Amino acid sequence: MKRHLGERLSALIDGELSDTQRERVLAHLAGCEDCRREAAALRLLKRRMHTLGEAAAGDALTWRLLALRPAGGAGQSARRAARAHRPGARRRRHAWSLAAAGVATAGLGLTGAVFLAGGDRPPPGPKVVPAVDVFMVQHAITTGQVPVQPSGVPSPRVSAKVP
Amino acid sequence: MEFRSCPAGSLSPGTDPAALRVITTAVLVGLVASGVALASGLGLLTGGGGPPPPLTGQAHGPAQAAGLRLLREAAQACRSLRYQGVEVAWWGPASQTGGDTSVVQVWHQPGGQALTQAPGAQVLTQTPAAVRGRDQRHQPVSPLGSSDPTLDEAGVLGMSTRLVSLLAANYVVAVAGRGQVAGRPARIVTVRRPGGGVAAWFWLDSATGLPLRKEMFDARARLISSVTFAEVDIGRSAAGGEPVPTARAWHTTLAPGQLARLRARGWPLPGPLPGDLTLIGAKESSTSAGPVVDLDYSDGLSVVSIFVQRGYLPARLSGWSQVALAGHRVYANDPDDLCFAWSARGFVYTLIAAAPQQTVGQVVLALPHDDNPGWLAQLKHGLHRLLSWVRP
Repeated sequence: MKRHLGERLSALIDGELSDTQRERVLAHLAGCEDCRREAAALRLLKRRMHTLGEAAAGDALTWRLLALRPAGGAGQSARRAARAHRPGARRRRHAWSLAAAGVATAGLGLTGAVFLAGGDRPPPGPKVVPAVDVFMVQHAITTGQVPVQPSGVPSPRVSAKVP
Repeated sequence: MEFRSCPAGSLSPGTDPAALRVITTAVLVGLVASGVALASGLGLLTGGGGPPPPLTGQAHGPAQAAGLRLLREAAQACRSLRYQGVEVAWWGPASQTGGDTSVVQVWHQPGGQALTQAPGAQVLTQTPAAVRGRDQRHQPVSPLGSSDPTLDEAGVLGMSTRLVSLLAANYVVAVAGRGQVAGRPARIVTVRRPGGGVAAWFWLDSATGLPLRKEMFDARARLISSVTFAEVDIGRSAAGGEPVPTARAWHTTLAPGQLARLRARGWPLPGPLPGDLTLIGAKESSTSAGPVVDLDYSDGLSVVSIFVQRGYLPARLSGWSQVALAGHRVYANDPDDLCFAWSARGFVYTLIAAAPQQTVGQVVLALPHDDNPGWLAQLKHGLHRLLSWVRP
């Protein structure tokens, strides 16, 4: 059975063989149709790869490719990891966090302000000291009994303490 | 037993007849106070001591009618008789471990005013006669006066036709026997609560019907007040010597329609109060801090006056102390006097009661208070205030 070149074809196309090795490979290509076709295919592939240059796959393509992978823990974790590292997502998440913190702070501050504003109620109306002497006179008139005289009025008032 | 006497004015003992009278009454005060203390200690006044034993069960029918008839005659006697004398009043706390005793002289002319005067003190008027102009000598110096007979016709010892009517509606009355007060024979009328407990005893002069003594008890049958004539002259012998009054009832009475208008303007003027207290009168007067409304309530025995005025009490009220009453913080002028004050929702309330402490507690509980508005109320108030800043 004829032995083909295998990996030595890639090394030939990449120019990685020594002179001796290259002579032997070329001698084999001269007599082997299969290896010549494979060598031509590799050259074509290498040329196309050069044509692509330094272009990299876009984010959308990357995500589509990742989405083609079978579902599972590893895949989801990878998506999450990828999502977490997306620059736009991070910015949006950061903005939401800032907004939530701002709203919470503003709410607490407003609630505190409302609470404090309602604390020191200004007493409505004038400051009043009850005219208790006058009131007791009126009450005495109403009762018709003999209550203790209004304070400040001299009277023979007696306090009795029962032992 | 400890007695503490206060100054009695500018009297001259030994030369002034008034001073001799004061000394005499002071001695009587001591005797009455001693009697009250001794009777309280022995349980005589609440059990079966001097007065006849209480009736068993509720008195109805003829007994009630007889008792009410005597009380109505007493109310009439308070208005129509000429009398003068010395009254001794004792008001004490429910615990009966103390109390205050006052002595006043009383004068009354038929159809005129009943005047009470503590020796050396100002004169209080008790009837509306001065308002009606029956006795120009008794026209007060101040512009005060009353045209409401339901309030001012209350004579000595709290007897008036209106109060007797309320008493008949809320209590069970019966004639209990006979006794003696100030040397005069008297009929004794008992007033019981619907549940059977004694609420008051009246001693009514047998000859004229004039009330000579009244004792009130709380719901636990403990003596809370005693008002009695230490000496009394009735009839022609009681003529002359009465002083000129310097104060009388506020003249601006408030009709139900006026009360309704005040309520519509936000004034908290309650109608009936707990303890079967009926609104028996309302008056209004002006003070430097604005108008003040005097609401008077009674169940026939107790009398509670509530003075309402706009404003608030200062943080410190000189001469008053803060106490807890019915679960609320209030100022007490003198707990034994049952005089309390507090402010709530833009109004100041001053309550003066001649009533059992339990009744006073019920009344205080029924009136507005600002004890603890709560965090929700504080938030609500703060929100209103902030909105008022945004949209004045």
